[in-house]
Amino acid sequence: MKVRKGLLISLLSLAVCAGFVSAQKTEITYMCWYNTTQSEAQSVQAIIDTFNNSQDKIHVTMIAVPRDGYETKVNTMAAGNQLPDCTQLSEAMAIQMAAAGVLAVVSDMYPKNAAPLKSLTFTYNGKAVGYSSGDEVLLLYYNKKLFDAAHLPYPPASADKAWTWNQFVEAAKKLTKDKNGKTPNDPGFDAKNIVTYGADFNRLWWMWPIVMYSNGGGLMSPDGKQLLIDKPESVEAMQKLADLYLKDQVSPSFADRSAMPSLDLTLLSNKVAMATSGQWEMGVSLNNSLKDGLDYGVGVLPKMKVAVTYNTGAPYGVFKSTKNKEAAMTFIRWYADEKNQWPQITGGILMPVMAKWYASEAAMREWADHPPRPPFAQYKTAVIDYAMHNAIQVPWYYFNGYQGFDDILSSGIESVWNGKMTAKAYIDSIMPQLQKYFDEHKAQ
Amino acid sequence: MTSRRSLRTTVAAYIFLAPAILGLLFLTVLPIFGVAGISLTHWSGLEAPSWAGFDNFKTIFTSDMFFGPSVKATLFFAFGSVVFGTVYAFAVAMLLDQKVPARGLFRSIFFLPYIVPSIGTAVVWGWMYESNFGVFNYFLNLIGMDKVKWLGDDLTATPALVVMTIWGVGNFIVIFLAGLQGVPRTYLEAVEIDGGNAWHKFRHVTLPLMSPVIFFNVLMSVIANLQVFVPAYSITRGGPDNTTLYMVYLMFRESFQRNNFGLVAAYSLVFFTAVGALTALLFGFSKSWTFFEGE
Amino acid sequence: MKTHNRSNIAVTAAVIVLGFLSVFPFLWMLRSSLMSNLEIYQYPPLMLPKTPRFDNYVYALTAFPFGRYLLNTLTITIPSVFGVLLTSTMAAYAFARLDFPGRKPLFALVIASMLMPGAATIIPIFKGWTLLGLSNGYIPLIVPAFLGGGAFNIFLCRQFLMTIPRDLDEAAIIDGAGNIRVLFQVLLPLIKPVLISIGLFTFILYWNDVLGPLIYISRNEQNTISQALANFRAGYGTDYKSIMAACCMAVAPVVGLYLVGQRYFIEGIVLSGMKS
Repeated sequence: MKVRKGLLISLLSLAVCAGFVSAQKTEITYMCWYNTTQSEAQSVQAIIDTFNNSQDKIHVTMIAVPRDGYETKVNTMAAGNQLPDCTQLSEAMAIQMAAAGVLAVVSDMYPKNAAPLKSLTFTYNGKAVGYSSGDEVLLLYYNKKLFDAAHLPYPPASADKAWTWNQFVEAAKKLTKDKNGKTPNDPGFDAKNIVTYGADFNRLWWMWPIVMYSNGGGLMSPDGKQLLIDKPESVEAMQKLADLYLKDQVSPSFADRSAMPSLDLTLLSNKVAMATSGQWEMGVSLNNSLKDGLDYGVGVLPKMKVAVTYNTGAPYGVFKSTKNKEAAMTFIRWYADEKNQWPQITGGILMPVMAKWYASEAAMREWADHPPRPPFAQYKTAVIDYAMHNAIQVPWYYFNGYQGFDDILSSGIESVWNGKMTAKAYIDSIMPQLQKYFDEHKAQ
Repeated sequence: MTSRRSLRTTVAAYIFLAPAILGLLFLTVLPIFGVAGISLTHWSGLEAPSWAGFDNFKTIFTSDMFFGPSVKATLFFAFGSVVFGTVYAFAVAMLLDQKVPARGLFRSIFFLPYIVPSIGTAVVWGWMYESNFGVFNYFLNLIGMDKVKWLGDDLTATPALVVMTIWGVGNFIVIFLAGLQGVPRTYLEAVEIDGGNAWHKFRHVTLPLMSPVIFFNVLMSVIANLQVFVPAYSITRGGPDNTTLYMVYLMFRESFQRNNFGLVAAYSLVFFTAVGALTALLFGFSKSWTFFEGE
Repeated sequence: MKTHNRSNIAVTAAVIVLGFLSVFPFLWMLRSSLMSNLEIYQYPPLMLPKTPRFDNYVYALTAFPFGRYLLNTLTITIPSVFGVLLTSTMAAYAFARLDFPGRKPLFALVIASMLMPGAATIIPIFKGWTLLGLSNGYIPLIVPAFLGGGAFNIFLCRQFLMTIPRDLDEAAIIDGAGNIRVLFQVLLPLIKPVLISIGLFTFILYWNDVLGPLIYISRNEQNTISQALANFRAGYGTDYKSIMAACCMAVAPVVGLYLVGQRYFIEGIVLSGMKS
């Protein structure tokens, strides 16, 4: 009797335990940021809820932070040993965190033949520490109506036909109008009262260096071992960019540009005829003004010597401190899967990261052949092919400490945009510190 | 009897002082050693610190891009804010000391900016200073002048922030006003009888009598203004051209955003020790030393 | 007589002009908070909105839950004010009323620390809190208030205590009162003015603090009003109607407090600055 009772009790407890164990989910935390409103985080939460409800092994809790305070938050969490399991990472900080040893290597997140594009991989010491959440490239957007009114051909939509810088400037000049309708080519052009700017080549801190690469120079070599910024080609490119405002008079000043509203309003109100920015504009801004009559086209960036653009995309990362690396990677793999982010993909905000979405026209059409994107024919050559064949990585994919590098690069850069200093003088003045920082941080 | 009383008193005193002593220890003394210690390391904050010796200090005095401009910007800002703030506050106090109608109302109006949270001040003034749409440039245009890039131009950024800070010296105004009202009229009348004018009254009666108050408050103001943070963090981010890269903002950025805790500790040591020494010197040499002797 | 009138008019005029300049930012903030962004971005700027858009506040409240931030800020501020009043008074009493070895050097240390900028020691203090595992939350912001409450407050309180004659103390001691009763029963009512002054100062200080919360509070739900406004400003970039509305909400409580307790504010500030 006793033995049977004892057995019964043990069996029961075992069953309870087993049930308990299998019902216990792995709890992981995922951190992300929102750019403007906390309500952005709600759409992320909705996707996470889908994940949580779709299986019962892993439960994800979201921590949402304002973009601005993200780096601070990571630091304070790291100091307090309270880092989440996985996170959206800022591009500029990713390699720095890898170098500090807080990021886990994630090269085993995907099977070898089904991994994201190599161009979207953040690597440290040859190992993958993060994959971009989406692909983004820099493009040239333009207001079709202004081109029609000026009887000008649209900017080319494929890299092999890319405008040279001179062609770009010429077109811009014809599109720039002062309040009397004159262009910079006309006598009596009033540069102080420009109503429409022919072109704006984005001088945002991480975007503008693409011109240096286009001219055969660059910020640094792709292996991250050599500074290229002081090469004559790089300096010349920077000066040409500044000259859009200073000499050619087709661009707004840097300060005026910063004060302009979102890209869609800028194009719609005819403030600017051509502007460069990332692919995301299609889904984040341009789509908003379609109903108001915005008729935009997309083309490839003008080239100086080489047709090249930047690709980028904020990565996801897994912290080394996590106790649930497998679970975290499982979640990230699911979360990054395009099908689970489909609204963002078809909505024009992100481009896919997995090679399979670029493998055939049918696959491409599935995600790209929708408004708010422009007609597929144009989008395919101007964006997809461009991204596949002409894109180079923003240095933060491999350089440790891009943010600090840029602190130096950007600290007085407005003097160049404003004409107070030539590009050569400015770069010469910061080269000592830049070189020192670079040598201290570059790949060994 | 006396010795027991003394002992009891001593024990009582130290019990009463216990929180303060703990505070001094953990919030002042130990942290200073902490800063010194951290300044001798390279520390990203994300992993263990590594020994750096005097590297950080070498960096500060040779290749660091930001420390020099930051010191300049901070001193410039503090000087402007303290000097012009004090002069403005004193001037307004003197005006209010006259027979002004609705003095109470005006005193409130002048005082209120002081209690506005600094972030609120920064946000509103940042908007008013905005180059293209801001109201200050509107007023300039009205009188036929060109727009000024207040917060976008090297020369005007810190002065603009100084003006914003001066707007907030309500506490000084109120303190000075009270001080002025406490100046015995008999002294002022004595100057009049001797044939002196307003300037003489000011120089020989008002100013000397007010000088301890002025000095003390200027000192507190210097210390506070040297630690300016909010305008740099919320509006200018240190620009343009590092002209508003105030020290505390630089320290925050380089530590919590660029992961360079060791260097920041060195910044702290160099800057604040220099400032502290200067302040202590000023303090020691002032007449006000007698003020605190009052046992 | 004539010169008096003329200078009086000049003075009044000057005061009115400066007063208007002083009040202008408030007006601008209020006006902007009630306009649409289209109206705000108009140049030349409109002085007043066509129709005041109170729904700006409704909209702003969804992204700027004022009530919660208010609660958070009070959760930090009220205990801190209490802590400061308690511990600084205790310390001041010891310095002012008790004779004990080490009094002079200790007081000198207090004075010296008054001159030390708090910003100099952020990092070690932060690391200290992380070692204790308390670096995320309100504790690091409240505890310092209970550790002496700041050298300035100790100093202020002590100076004030020294102006009070010891007769009442001595009477109480003869009656058998210990130090605690002397301080809390006899002296406390007499030092109310300086306590109010310190209390108000402390309140404003905590209300205002941005750097502290930035470092120690990382959960959004726990943000203080000032911190939330800083984040809001950073995030909303060009949505000025909302930023101004949030700003008004952040400023209103303190202004309201002032309007209610004006007398105390003014007296308090005067006391702190004159300390005699």
